[in-house]
Amino acid sequence: MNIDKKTQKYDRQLRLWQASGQAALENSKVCLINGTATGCEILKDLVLPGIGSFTVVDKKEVDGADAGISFFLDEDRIGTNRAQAVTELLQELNEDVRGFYLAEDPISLIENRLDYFLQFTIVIATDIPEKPLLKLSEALWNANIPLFIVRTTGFIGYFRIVHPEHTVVETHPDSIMDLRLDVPFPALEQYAKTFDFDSMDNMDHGHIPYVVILLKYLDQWKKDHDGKLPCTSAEKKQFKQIIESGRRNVDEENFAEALANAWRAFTATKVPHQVQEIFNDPACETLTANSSSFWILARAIRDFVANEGQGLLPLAGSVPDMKADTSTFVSLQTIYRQKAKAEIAIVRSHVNKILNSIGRTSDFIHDDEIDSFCKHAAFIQVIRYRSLKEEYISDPKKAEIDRWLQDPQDNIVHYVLIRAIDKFYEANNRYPGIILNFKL
Amino acid sequence: LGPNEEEDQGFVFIRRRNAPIQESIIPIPLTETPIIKKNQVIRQSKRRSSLEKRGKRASSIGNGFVAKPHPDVNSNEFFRHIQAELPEPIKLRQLLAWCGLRALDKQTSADENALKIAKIIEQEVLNDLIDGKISTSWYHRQNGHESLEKTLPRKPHPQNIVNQRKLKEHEATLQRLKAEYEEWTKLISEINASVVNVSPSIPSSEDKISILPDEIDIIVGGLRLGNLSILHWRSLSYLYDMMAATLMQTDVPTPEDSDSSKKVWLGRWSHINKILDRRGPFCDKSFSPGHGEDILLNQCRILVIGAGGLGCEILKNLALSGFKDIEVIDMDTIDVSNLNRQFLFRPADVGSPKAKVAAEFIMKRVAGDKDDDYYLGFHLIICGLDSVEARRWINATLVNIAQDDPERIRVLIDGGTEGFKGQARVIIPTVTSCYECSLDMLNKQTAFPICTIANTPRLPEHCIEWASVIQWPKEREGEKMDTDDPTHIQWLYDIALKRAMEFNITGVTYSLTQGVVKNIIPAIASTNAIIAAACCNEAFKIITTSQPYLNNYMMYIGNEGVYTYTFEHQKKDDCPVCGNQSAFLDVDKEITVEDFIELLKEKPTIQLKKPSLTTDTNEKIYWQSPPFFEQRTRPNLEKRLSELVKDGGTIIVTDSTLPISLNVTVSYV
Repeated sequence: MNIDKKTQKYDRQLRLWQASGQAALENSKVCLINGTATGCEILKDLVLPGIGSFTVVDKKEVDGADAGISFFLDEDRIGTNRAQAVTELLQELNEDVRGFYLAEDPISLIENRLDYFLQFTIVIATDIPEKPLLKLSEALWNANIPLFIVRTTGFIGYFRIVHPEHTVVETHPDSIMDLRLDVPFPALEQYAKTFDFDSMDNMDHGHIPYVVILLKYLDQWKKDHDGKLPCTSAEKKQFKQIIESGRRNVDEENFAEALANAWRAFTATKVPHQVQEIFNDPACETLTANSSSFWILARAIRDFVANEGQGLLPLAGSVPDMKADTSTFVSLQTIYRQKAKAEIAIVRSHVNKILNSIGRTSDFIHDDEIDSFCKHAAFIQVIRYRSLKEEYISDPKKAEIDRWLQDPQDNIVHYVLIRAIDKFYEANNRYPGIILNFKL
Repeated sequence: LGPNEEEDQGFVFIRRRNAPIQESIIPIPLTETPIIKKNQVIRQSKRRSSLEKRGKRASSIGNGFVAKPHPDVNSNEFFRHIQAELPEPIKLRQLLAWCGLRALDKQTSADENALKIAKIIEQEVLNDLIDGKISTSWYHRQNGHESLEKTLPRKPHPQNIVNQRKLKEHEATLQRLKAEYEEWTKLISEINASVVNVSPSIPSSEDKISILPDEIDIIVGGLRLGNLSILHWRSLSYLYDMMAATLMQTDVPTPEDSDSSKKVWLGRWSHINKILDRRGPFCDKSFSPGHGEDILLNQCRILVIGAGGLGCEILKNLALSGFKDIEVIDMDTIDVSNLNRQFLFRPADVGSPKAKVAAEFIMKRVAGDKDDDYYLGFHLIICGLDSVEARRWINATLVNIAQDDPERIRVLIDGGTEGFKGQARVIIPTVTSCYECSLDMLNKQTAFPICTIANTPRLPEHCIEWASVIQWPKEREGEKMDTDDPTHIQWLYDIALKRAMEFNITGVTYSLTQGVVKNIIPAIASTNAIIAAACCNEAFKIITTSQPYLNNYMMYIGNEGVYTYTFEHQKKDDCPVCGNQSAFLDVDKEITVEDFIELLKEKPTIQLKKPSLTTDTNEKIYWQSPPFFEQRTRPNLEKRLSELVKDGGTIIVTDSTLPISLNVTVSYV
């Protein structure tokens, strides 16, 4: 048995977000404001996969309605503190997660000890009225801590992320295809030239990898067309016909693969639009000692693209499976991998230069991080959210909301209602639509 | 992929352009996410939704007046042609105008001149009406029509009668409770008086006392004074319980736990009752407020199949929604890798069966014995399974049961997840599309060609397949491979690793070995929670009729942001399970029976496991079982199909692993 208990327990999720995702999860400290049923459900889905720790802040005493709707409360806990009660039961879910609670009123905590919330990696707020929420969100915004605002009512739910900026490197794309067929690098070009199709026997001919087939015919095409790639649909068709004519029999799967992937050869390799936008971002332009490793790496890649990369991102370095014999496939893989490695080394030197210029040591960014960033360079993402102050006060986008409301099908009506519920609560200290209100 | 098909992150689904498509977007005003940004661009550039415009006449654009209905439509049927969602005054205008126009056409009189004049005047009045010059709105009307109202006999609204009766009952209860309360107050003040100098006593009866649970707390909080507070708390909470027992009959626990010493769980169903105790704008006609709890707690029986990650969530949600009578079946035992999401299990449970039902029993129920009455004993069946075969089985079984008698329809709600993706669907057997109708939406499992595995391995997966498919039967002949046995996995891993090293292939790990041989699908708690919640919401809505339910397919994709898509999956006429038409297959005229059987196994819309074939004149072509028939029909396998079935002939296909009978009409090409 060469596999530890933890890997076994988290097997099904590690296959989704790998060790790096798990490490990020295990280093997180999550705060839940108010141990509502929805809040507990969220924590459940975080405790099970194994966050580092969680803290529930709640002053409320459990009542029958709370216990009736939450899996993490039971009848015996009616009358006890809700934070403590739910923490005990949530803690049971995963012995590797530490649970804490604070039996204090979150609103007065926000009023008086706002910095309490700054110790967490993420804060989830349920059932907090707008006013304290604004105050909390501002503090978390300045500390760059994401705030999740959650509200459910009947069959309708709402959640909103408040965070200045979220950056993602490992976006787990379905496939990382980076073959450079239109702009083969010298080693690849050289390798393709070693294949002499005509002199091969049928066995070998049926095992030429489609990458080589495409490179070979493209090379010929470029020679015949002033170095241009096929671009009109007639040319593309003609190019495919040329490949087809090189096929010795219909059973040659490698030629079928070449035909199916021919479009990749016509598509120019370039820096994707969203990555170019990231390069143009002021955060990438002006680095400071406080810049995150994401922006330092983005800048290093940008410098690479502008210089050694000659307008292209570092090579991802992976080759998809294709019909080929083992040794050919392995050497093809090696060619891509070695090129990628060489480019990573160049990126490393850019990273070091940048770190040096902003007064950081080179161990601030590890080699693994650079490897991963280069591999995913075409898929990196920056997501920026609006602040709550903008949404509630400075720029509530009234005109747009008004326009959307004209369309009875638009879901904006739910947003308006949920905001209205909050306003109602603030004015009346109760939610609208309470049925039972007997007074003696 | 065809022109109407679209591949979306591993899900292949068919968008049928003629089907009513309902977009459902979760209202999250995250204005800056890339998805939202993209959507905003789309919203600005294209027409957003043509849903409400559909089916309307061109003339309805403008002043809103819709051209007259067809002359064959009776005027007392006009209301059916008026759009329900229009405001009342506009509906009234429409109705008046149509009636007026109809009356205009039908008028007769001896005096033609008079008729003409009358018609002109009436036409003008009508035009004014149509142009909106005559107001049909009564919203801002002054009370100038009292005399008219008085002449109309008023019938009391039935709900008012009920309300008045309830009011009387509640008033009586309140009176009684008030009296009781006063007695208690007296008692408490007597006790208070007997204890030394207590300053704040029980609030006087003039004070407002609410019996709302959270407000009771405030009162109790006000009395928190040393030991005495306990006394007050006890007396008050007793009072509160007693009131609860009288006022909220439905909150009294069910007979078996109504131990008199047990405290009443006040407010247990208060969240759910907010939905069930009053009508909402989307309620079904059959919904009757105030009875939901009884339906949920005492009448409804639900069967949950699968107690895995989804099953655990489903059970929890059902229990918290008030469903009491739930039966669970599952064939698996608990594995340590279940613990990252199957929260009903604890490390101590590893190794024990998931549902408290023996394996043979489940096999009998889920995979073997046709026991219609068993399924008919439930109102609704929810599946949270990870196996396609089990789903096909239960789906086909329920469709068969419902085939001839609508009374025997049992709704099936099916949930499924894979990593960040999932789906929930409502299947009403024989009415909506069934699981089998959408079989071709499944992703095909990747299968590696045997020659690659044997001769030209390139991927670590090829080496693992080599170990399990080729080496295991060779080196451990006769021994059954158990993918749950770590020593077996370890053996495969060692063999695969050796082969990989031989071929310079990197990436063979223990975890990958396990993943390949067990065909492991990633699973996480949060996707399970989302899909289970969708399934249970639908169950709740269907059972209580409190809201419209899903029609009939919702997919969720959470890889990047939140994306859900709801659509009506169409019933397939030639569905092997619920269709009434035979499937047409064009086959090579040279095809052998054996190859034809392969074709039935491979074809995405059919995917049978062990098909047996019979002609429509009841002659056996090939039967997989029993062995006696298998032997006798085996020689047919090598024959050409065209020797046994004429062109355009029909073959009846059955499968011992599925309760399916499919008619296939073949044409030879």
